[in-house]
Amino acid sequence: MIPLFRKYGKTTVLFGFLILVYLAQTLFAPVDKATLHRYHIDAGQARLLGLSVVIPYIIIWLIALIGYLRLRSYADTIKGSKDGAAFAIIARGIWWFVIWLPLSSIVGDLVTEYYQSHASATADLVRLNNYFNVLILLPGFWLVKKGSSQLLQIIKKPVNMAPDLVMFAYIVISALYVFLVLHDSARYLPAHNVSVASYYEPDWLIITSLVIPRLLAWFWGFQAVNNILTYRANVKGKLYQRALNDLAKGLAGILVITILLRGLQSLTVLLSKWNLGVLLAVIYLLLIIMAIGYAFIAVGAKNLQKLEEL
Amino acid sequence: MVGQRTVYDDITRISEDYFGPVAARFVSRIVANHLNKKPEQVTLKDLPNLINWIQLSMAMVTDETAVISEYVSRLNELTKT
Repeated sequence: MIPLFRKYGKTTVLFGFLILVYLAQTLFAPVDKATLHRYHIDAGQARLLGLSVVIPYIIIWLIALIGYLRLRSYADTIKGSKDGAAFAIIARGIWWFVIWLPLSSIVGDLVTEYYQSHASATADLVRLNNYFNVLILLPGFWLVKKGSSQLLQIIKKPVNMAPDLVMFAYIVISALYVFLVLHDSARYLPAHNVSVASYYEPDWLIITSLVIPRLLAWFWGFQAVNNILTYRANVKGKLYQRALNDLAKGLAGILVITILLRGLQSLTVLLSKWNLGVLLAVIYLLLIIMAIGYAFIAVGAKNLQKLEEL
Repeated sequence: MVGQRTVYDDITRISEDYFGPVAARFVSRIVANHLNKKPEQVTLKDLPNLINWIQLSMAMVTDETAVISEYVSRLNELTKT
């Protein structure tokens, strides 16, 4: 691992810096009094609980970073070959999924801290955070879709729409997501136990500027997974196919977690009624899915790289 | 010799079933690093030595002995041609 971190020193240092910033935020930022009151805990317990989530989360970031660096290293190793350019683009896409982890956490925490002490800025900051989360993932999904389409060109396969079953799954998920967004009673203004609204935007703006871009990103994600699986099915090499399979699974895992996170964003009213234990269980479940997704990328990239090191 | 299949081509063709697009690069590296030859210089006499190196390398990426045995036995078939 160390040689990989040394090889891509600037990326590693940047990532290390972001981890330190996030740790400092977790340890030193003021704790929200409303949260303490709601869950009947004191500041010390809140920090401990925060760390119990943050530490596994940072471990997942590191797994994600290792996966990205391995894939980038693999793409660099084969850059003169037909598939080299395609993998380089996919690796650039994965980078956006990796950097999204610390940046969305840091920006999210900063925004929360700021509006806790400047209530009048809440709506603007929530909007800023929402757009930030949309914009950071769009290039990632577009790049993995573009790179995976190039893989299909190598085997002279047309870039088709995903098979019926996959498209059906995409349509169902999209419809469900739109339903959840438009049934979120705290989407425009705070409601029930929720002190901060999800969007602070009218429905037409939520749909056009947030939901549609997200659905587009997920569509690219579905296409990318399908493209890699199609490439895998049509390319020779048992060992190579296995590595590609892991890569596709990893990408699918990232896609699933981004969809789940957005779905949960629309369930804030429901979540606010749950007790702390259930909430923590949901968070840990999400962390597990996230870890599995990024771990598959790391394993797939490792196996691809291994084939080039023999 | 133009258009004629070389030993290297035969090894690469078999290797593609296991390594896919990586096969040509993999075989070229083994030939260069362990036989100190260019791919087109590989002869049938080099095969046993080459198969040994390939077998060792293969064991580093998979523990599936059935796959390794199948690969090696297909390469060994080349020595009989």
